[in-house]
Amino acid sequence: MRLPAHLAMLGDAERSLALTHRAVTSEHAADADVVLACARFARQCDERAQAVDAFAAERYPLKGETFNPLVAPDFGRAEGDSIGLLRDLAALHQFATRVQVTWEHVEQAGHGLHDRGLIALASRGFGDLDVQVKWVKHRMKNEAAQALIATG
Amino acid sequence: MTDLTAQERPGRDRITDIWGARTPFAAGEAWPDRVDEYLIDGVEADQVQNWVRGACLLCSNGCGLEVAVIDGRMVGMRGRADDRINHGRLGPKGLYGWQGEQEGRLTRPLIRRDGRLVETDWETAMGAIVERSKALLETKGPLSHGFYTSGQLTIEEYYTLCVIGKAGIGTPHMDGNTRLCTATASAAFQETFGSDGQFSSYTDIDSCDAIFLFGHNVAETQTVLWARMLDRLDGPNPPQLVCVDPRRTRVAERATVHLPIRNGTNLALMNALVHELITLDAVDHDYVDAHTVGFDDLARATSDATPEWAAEICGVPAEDIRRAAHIFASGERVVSTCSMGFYQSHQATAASCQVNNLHLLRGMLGRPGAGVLQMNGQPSAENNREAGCGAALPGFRNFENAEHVRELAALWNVDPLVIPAWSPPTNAMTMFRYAEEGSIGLLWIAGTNPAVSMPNLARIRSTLAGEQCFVVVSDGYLNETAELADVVLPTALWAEKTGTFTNVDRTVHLQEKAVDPPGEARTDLEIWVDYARRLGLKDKDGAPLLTWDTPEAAFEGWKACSAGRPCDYSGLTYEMLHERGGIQWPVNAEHPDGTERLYTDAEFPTHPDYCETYGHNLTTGTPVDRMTYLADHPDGRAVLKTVPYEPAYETPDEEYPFRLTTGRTVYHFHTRTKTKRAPQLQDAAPSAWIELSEPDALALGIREGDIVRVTSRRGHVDAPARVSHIRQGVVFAPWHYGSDAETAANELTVTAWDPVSKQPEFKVAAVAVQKLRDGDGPSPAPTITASAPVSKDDPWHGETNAAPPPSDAIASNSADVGSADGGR
Repeated sequence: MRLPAHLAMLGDAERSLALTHRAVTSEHAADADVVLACARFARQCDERAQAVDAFAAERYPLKGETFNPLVAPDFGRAEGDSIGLLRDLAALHQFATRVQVTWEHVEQAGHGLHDRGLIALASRGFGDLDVQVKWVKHRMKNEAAQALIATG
Repeated sequence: MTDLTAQERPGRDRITDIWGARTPFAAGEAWPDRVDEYLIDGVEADQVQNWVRGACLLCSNGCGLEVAVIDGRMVGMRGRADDRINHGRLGPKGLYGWQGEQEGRLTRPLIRRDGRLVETDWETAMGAIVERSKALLETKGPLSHGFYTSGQLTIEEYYTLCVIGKAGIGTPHMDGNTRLCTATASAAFQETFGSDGQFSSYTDIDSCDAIFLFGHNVAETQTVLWARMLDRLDGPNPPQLVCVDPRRTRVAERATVHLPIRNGTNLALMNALVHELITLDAVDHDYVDAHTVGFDDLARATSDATPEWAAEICGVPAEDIRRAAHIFASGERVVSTCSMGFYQSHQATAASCQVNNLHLLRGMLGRPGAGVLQMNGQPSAENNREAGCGAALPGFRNFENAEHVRELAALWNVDPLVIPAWSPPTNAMTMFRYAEEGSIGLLWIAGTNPAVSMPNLARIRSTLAGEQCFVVVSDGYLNETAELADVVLPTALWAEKTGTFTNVDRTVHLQEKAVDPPGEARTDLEIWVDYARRLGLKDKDGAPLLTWDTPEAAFEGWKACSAGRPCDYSGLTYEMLHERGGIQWPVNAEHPDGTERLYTDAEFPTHPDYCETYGHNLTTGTPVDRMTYLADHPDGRAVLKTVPYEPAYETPDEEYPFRLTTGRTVYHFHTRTKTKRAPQLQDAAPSAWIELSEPDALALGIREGDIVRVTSRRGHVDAPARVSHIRQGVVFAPWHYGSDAETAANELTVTAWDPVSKQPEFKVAAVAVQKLRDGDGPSPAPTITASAPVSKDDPWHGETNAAPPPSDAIASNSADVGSADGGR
């Protein structure tokens, strides 16, 4: 079974996603709505990481095999203006979508194992990430025209 | 009409007798008339040459009145007895505030030369604006333009700018200062009912058996509405009154239950009230099943929100929350009002939607005495929302509905692609962010003073003063914002022009021009028509985009735009408004005399082809897409929704241990540009103060009148202390006083907003308080309002403060300390 390694990777990915959100908040401090939303999302990522770690430790402990971590995109070099925000949000969208898909994989495994607890955990994780992904997409949509036309 | 002695003549003493003589009435009776009048010294009524009809523009009531004119100059006011809003009454600002228009006015355009504003002529001023405008449009396109307007202009002016911005230039960057005061009312209506639009009526006060005021200090913000409530409270069968407010307002003093919750905890309380209704099964299941969607989700979302849980968060006894819920559950005709205490907070839309939900659960709307009044702050805020001058399409159209966009394109004879509908319209907070970075290169500010009214003022001043954005200000005064502008245009103010505006219960009034504006001042309508023509804005056939240049012609244009939409003005005329006074929209062939209340048939504007929005995630603000919306099948049914409570963006800590809240006093309007120039009003509240509770004052060694400094992470203000009955741990600062940075409350506030309505958070910021020096007497705060001082002679003294709880403990219950004469 390779689920334990997948769950361990997921916990680490959530922590990386939290760091990514926090990188966006520090890079774009002037965009208050981004700061507030990403700070909230970061807290939620940390909570999910703890939840998946605890669940895995009890039910699916690591047996030696580990997967390569999901690597967060590189943040912190974009400029703090609209175009920089747009680039960082695009990268955030990509990574959050990757984490969301990883939760979906876990949910499928839960069904295969008839594990209601795992299904519920993964379903919540997938739903939470869905909220994040939709927000990021919405925020990019708001920013794109301004960034591409009116800056520079 | 009530007979009064000369001594009692209304209008002579509306400063010390704010709400005037009582005219009590029973449920179901008509509110008696009482005509208030004020004429300047030396003028008698028979000397007045003209009484010009209109309505007050100094709060969202919009009381019908007549302007007294002698030799082309305003000399007084009197209320109209036949007006449905006020039945003759006027409040302090209505009676005295107009005098502010006669002092300190701008009379010539100004332009910045070598860093200084100097007088110029209209040709030069408009030429400079249009030159910059054309250059930006050529180099950066329409998104380089932003328009930030007001809740003080007329429908005709809003709609004219809407057409310029949305059909001519094609910019999504249009918003009003209504973002600061009334955006949540609009958002809450849209989320619950599919469209903006107040559905209840002030006449519901006349027959209700309970009134719930959620964050609404009506006694000071809408004095004539409070007079109406007082007359019910003093009548034979008074309604019960529930007040949610951390301050002991005059409303709280009359309350059956006062819930002085910690500011920033509204949604916890609201979720608990909904929880209680469901637990008590005080739900009209037939109504809910037939006319709403989302009940199961609402019940699930509030299942753990017990009164005990909320009591811990809100700092009020669980029993008081239960009492409030029982009053709602047992009422047959409940009116709820909701205002800034709810709107200017971090979960504003969610909390306000829960007010709507309470009424839907009980089937308590759309009939006399039963409904919700989501309040406005400003008198023509409603028009900014409905006429498309703000962050919305006109006529409550849905920017995500391509057919709605095509309707407008056909009406304006422009390519639909010009109309900015590719993403949500930009809100004010984001517009200022774009101006800060310079991607908005021309920001036109009309009739408002963001250098005092916006949060985090240091940042706003820096934005407006910078070189990166050309700032145009149209205003009657050289206010704090105008001083930072590149061009300042002097404008005509209220009663110096003709136009319509709509109050908070959909009542449309026509204000007729009473006097000429001073000097070279022009109306905003004239200015924008001139701007459009100089810019050469055309329709797709090459004809001028604007087809009007007079107020009445602009009104006809707006009528065509509104036809068939919820805010349908198509049946109104200037003549009707002149003859009859206030009339409630919709007014059309089906409702030729107007419409007292909406949703009488429980048919809501949520149909996907008709609604203004498909809704939002109340936590993140992300729009709900059309397919998801369709899946819930609202189709004329209201939407029940809430989200979990979250703490405020900034909560007290060791360094900043107090919760700041900002607010209003009865004597001033907004940033005092008018009211500080009205001597009675200015004398009544001449300068800023800081309110704090007696136990907090004792702990800090502060006495009444001592000069204190309030500090947040963003700045500080210094002002005399008023030791008042405010909740322990909470500090109040009036937001009106921006004449210097030392007293502007928004030096302290946080740059943050509700994710759905985008209304800024003005009700919670973590602050520290320290005494700077002894005072030389009492603070200048009014003494007969919510800022009344703690007094040993006060019968209340000791009840809230004698045994002070720790600041985070449950506040003592004020439930039984309402006045003995009704309201229990």
